[in-house]
Amino acid sequence: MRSHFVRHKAFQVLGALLLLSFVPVFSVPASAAGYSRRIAIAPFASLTKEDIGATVSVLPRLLASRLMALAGADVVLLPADGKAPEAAAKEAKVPLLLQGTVSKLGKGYSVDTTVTDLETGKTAGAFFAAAATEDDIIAQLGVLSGEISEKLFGVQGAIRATAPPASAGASSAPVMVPVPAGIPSIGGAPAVAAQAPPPAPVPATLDEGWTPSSIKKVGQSDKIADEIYGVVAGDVDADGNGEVLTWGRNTIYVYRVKGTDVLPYTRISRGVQNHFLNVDAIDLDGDGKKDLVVTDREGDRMVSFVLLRKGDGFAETPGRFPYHLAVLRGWNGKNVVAGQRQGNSEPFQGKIYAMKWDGKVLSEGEPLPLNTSILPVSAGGVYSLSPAVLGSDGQWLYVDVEEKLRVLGAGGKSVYRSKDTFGAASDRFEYGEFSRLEGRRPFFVLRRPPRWISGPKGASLVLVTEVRKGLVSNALGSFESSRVVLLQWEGGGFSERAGSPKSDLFFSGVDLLPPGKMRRGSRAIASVIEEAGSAFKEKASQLVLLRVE
Amino acid sequence: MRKGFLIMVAVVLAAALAAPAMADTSLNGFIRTNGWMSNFVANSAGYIQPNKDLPSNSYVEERGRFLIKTGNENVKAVYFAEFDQSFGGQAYTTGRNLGGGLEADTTNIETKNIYVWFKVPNTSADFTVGVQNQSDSYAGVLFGYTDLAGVFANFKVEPVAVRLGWSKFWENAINKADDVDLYIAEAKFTPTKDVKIGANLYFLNDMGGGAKGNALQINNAINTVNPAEFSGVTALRKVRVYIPGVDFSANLGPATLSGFAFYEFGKAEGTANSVDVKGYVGDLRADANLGPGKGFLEAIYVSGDDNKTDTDYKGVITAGNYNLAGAFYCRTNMMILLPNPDDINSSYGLTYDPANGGAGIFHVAGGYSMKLMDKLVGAANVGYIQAAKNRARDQGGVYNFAKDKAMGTEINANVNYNITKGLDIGVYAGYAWLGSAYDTDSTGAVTQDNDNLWTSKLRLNYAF
Repeated sequence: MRSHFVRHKAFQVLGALLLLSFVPVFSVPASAAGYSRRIAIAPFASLTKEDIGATVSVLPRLLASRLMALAGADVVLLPADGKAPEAAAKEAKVPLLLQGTVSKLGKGYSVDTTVTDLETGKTAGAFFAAAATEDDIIAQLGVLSGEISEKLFGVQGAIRATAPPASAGASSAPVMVPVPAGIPSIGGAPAVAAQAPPPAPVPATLDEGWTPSSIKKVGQSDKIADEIYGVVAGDVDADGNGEVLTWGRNTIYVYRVKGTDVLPYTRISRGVQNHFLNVDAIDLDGDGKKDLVVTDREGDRMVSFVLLRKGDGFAETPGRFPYHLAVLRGWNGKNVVAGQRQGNSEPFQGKIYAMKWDGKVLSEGEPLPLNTSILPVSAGGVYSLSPAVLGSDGQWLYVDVEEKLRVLGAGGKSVYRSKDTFGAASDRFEYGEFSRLEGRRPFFVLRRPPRWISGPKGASLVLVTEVRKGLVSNALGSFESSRVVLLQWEGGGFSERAGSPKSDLFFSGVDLLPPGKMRRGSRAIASVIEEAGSAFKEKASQLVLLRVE
Repeated sequence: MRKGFLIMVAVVLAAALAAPAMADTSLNGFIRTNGWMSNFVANSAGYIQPNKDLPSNSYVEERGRFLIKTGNENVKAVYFAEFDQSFGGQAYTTGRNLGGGLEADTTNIETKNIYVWFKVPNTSADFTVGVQNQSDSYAGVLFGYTDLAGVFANFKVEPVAVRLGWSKFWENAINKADDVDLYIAEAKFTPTKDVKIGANLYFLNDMGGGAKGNALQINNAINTVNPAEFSGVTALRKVRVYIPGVDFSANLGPATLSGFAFYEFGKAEGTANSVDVKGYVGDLRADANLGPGKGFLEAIYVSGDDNKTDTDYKGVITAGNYNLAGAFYCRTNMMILLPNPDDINSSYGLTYDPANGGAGIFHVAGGYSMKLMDKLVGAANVGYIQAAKNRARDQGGVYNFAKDKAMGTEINANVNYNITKGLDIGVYAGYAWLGSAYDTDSTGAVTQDNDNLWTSKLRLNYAF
């Protein structure tokens, strides 16, 4: 009995020591940014005409509970009808004051907060979150509290820990919330520091021997009331956070990826006469920020244009260019804009050129060494062209007009053609004269480019959408299922390495975050059409965030 | 029992084996239904013959076209089937354009095209062999959207694109040189990125001797050569016509300018006497983005002949002289003055063939179309047409251009709403003020005040 008691005490001491040993690991300086974890929160203000007062009124209390749980913060809630927030906060002798607003952002809401250092009167930080619906506002408080905890109070990993759970169907590894020892959690089960021994190192990159095995959905945007025809990464950091761009017939939607959130940022629209055939991102002016090249058609004329990055927005340049434009990533070691003219009665005319930017105008540079007189480029033009190194040779990836994935030699001759269909088009444009025979004008389908990823020893990977169609079903947008797949080039052909589950929705485009690089946990963004517009149903699409495991 | 099982297994196996081959098979086409109301007799095709106190009429027509392509990227077999009928037409019968009657059940499939298309490996060259659909480089003035049997080839040597073709209009006796053939050679140059110029040479070799069939004939029919014109030519033996011409298009700032011109020369020989053919055509068109939409303006002149006593024929001979709708100039979107690109079974025009029975035409038109809303498109067109020359157009003397050339002025408009992908519903209406040419007889005397013409249709079209 005594020995049992001793052993029990010994375990308790050992456990305490273990717990204490984690304190220096997970606890961080109490004021990484120079602030103690004491903060007053004023009532939030609603800047929208909609009746969301009930939701807005509970935000301070909910935010307080999260800050207390995450950072062990000492939070003072200021009364709604008391004195001025600054005075009340000073009276409570807390160094920081958080004030927030909720405003309308498109069809969703923006929750914006600022934290004031009461001693200096300066802003200690500003934090925001976007919510798709009123109900989503409260969910987004997790993101806000994580950011505040990490950036003001130095709680490492708080942002990741507070990311909203993956949507249905997605699976993600459980996240251990690091909590400083001795701090009680509020509003949920007590968080417990991980006590398991550190896992054995596993390969995380292709070079280390990691092999992708699955692609899972980890997040999604709000509903976009449009048919979106593709997606491209904008300015994205190494972790895959940053801007992504998608587009419909005449609107470009800019979203921001933050953790597993895909949040609306801004949009750029043109009149109903305009038709965006392609949108791509590239740093044209060398300022380190990606600009946009937009292939636009107004009536039957090409009126492509450039949007230069200016601050947080884009400024349109005055030039109009009669070219189909697409960005070639890593062509001869750099990103270039490829351009091909529209013909007089055919969709494309002549060679494809590497375009030059002089600050105002895109003009033809050197022609690409591609024979545009032979299939498949003669029929499909510049769209979906993507430089790649497969094995040791510089080649091209290409989706032909029948939506087969091709590998082209440097000169444009086809050396591989897939059996299945990839990069299928969700949009098209008409050209030339009306055909009485077929009762319509000829049309050209806008396939989306495969995304090439360099792998070790020439084992390249390709991220692309796969669309399965019926035996004789070739109508635009008609399909059986679609998904995103990761293919690997080996033995002169492609084999599948990983894929997302088949979907009844149409995957119209995909891009890696950041482009061209992949490691375990890398994310990709896909554009998905949920509902093609018709008189029966409104258009609906969304961006889907995927993670490669 | 065992035998039945084996047959079933065989069928399933055959289907399974065929499935991969079907993967490169496509099906396109459309089904279109037009509900018409107009004050001139239609529901057929050809020249409108105005009259006085015309009753209005209404009917519904339908056309289905199914284009099946199978093969791979280098070779394709193509079959194009057509089904035409009018609502309430005959049933339990056999024949084209029938089968809309109660209980339908009519053998009415028409083979529109059947051909093989193939590419020469790793070159830009392709060939089309069989019954196919081709158009000239002159907006259909000579032959437009024409189904013909032949061999056509395309290849490109940058910056030149070449089309070569041969078509057999009519095979008479297989052991005689008595056929009708068309040969074409075209080269399109792009001297600058904004300009395309085509140099073309066609050759019509009619050795049919005016025999019934598809050889050029001299008779009273409106789409054949006017016998008065070929006066003195007896027993037409052969017609050889050479047609050199040019076409161009150029991007000029916000507008695209395009046009064409050709000269037609040759000889129509009879056993006694002959006629020299000396026709010509010129066309100029501008397309531009104007405001929220796009517009066009076009003028065309097709030469005619007003002297029946000389040995020259200054009109043009077209494929329309060989079969109805062989020539099909329609790109100004008229509904009454000329045939319309959207026509199906019912296809009419004050002049159906730009040769206009030897009188030629001068036609000017403009149009504007724009998106009114996301799924709603509207268009309006206006046009004027007259004969190029004073002359009686046909032997019937129902109307002619002996004294007056003005044929009519038309306005039309339409709106189309896209219900869902491929499915559109539209309302079309057109009105034409008849010109003075329709008021006089061959002597120039005013005979009657023919009614102006109007037409309208409700159109449902599913393209797939």
